[in-house]
Amino acid sequence: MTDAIAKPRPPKNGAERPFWEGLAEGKIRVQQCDHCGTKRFPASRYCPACHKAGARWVAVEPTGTVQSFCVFHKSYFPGFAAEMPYAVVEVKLDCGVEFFSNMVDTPNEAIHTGQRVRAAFVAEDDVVLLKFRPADAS
Amino acid sequence: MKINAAICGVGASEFGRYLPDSQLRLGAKAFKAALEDSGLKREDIDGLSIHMGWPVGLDYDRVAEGLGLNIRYVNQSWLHGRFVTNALQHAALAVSAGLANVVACFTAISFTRERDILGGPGDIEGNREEGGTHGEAPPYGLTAPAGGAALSMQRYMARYGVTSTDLAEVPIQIRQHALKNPGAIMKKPLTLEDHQASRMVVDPLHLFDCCLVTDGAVVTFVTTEERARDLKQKPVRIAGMQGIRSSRDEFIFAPPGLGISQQPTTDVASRPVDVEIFETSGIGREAVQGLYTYDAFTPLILFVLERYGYCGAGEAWQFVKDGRIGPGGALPINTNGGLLSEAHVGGWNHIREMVRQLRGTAGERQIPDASVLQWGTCWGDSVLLAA
Repeated sequence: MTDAIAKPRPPKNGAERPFWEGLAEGKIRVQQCDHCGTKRFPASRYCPACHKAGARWVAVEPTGTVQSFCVFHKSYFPGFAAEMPYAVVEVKLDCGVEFFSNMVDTPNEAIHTGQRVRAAFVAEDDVVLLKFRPADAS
Repeated sequence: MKINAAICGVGASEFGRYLPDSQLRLGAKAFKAALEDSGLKREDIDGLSIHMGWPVGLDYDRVAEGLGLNIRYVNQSWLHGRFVTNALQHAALAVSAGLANVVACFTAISFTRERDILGGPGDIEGNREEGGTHGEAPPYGLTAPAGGAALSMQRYMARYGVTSTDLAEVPIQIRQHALKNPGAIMKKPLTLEDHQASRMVVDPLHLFDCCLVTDGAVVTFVTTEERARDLKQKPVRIAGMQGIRSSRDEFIFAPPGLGISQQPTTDVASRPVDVEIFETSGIGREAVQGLYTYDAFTPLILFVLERYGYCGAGEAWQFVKDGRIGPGGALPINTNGGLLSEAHVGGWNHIREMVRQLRGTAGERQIPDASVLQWGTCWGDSVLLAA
């Protein structure tokens, strides 16, 4: 089994389909409430702020801040074995929406809470994933 | 409705790794031990409360069939540590309402045979599109319960200036309790050096910051106070309860306010909603002689101390120093050795230990004159048990 096959992949035809399609175009799209304007992700039918239905998918700024991170030294999925130890970051985008993700081109030791980061759109097999790199990297 | 409930019996199977017995056989051993302990007969048990079912444990109907029970009240919740308290609370509610005379809280686990479920490809819960029960995001490798606990601890460390050596105080003292428990799986003292030298599981959590993965069963009988008084054992009263908290302020392994996932970032200090149990029960926090909690990961013990107001926000790492939560400490925690050092029986091994303490039969681990103990988890649910 190759690493690519063994990695868990997101269902691209689920409620978050516009998000995954956006990543392929180099955009981060999240839902924005038609009524109060609150941005949200993952997808939901009703707004968590005003509880009204109706939302559109809008592109947001690709910058944010690392809220926390952790480094996996145990391989729970075979597909990540080649990347051990790998870091998972929690990034809060400047629009307020949070994502769990990975950093690219960044040693684990260089990751820290409060770090400013910028989106990196990384193709893996047939999906583009939202990852991040330090904002001051070229 | 006033809660009128007491624990009148408790029993356990052996605890171990790769035990040959099936879950049902382990459960039957614990059930028979609970019958023996309480003096009740099988026909007396007419309720079942279970905090886990397939794929981690047995479903209620299999338990009833397997043990030959005639059941007229069932509560079965979700396969997660969050529902341990819920199972005990439903048992208390059921006997208080007269829906059953004696409810058996039944837990039988074979974690060592089902490791895949705990964060691997077989983790059905963790692979849901919107993220799993511990905040999992599998496409990015955020899988397994340890991931959520590690993210929480990393942020807590950054906010409050805490280090891994500070955190080591927790498992070292829990191990000291376990060394006084002949039934505990971990038999050797844990030193700071051992802790720091142990391999990382998910940084910042070392191996000894993570609980054991074991097999075993515990069965706990709950009945009314009146009925319990007529039975063989000294009753252990359910003296107070509060339910699990759920809102956008909650993330599985982070205290409210820490700022993980959808949580707002505020102070992590105890709030009135976290300590309602002391007011509604009329038993103040100062009366609590020992604290018991679901210690799947060591940071959870720090979070619990703050959540229930035993110390202020970001102060728990200092609170635990100087042996304060260990044997003979001012606030002993998980005197059985916890999930960290006794065994992982879903926390029911802790409930069993609380019963022993309140009966005064905890041997070398006995908290002097134990009369009030708190079970309280990082999810805000709690039960006060009293002699």
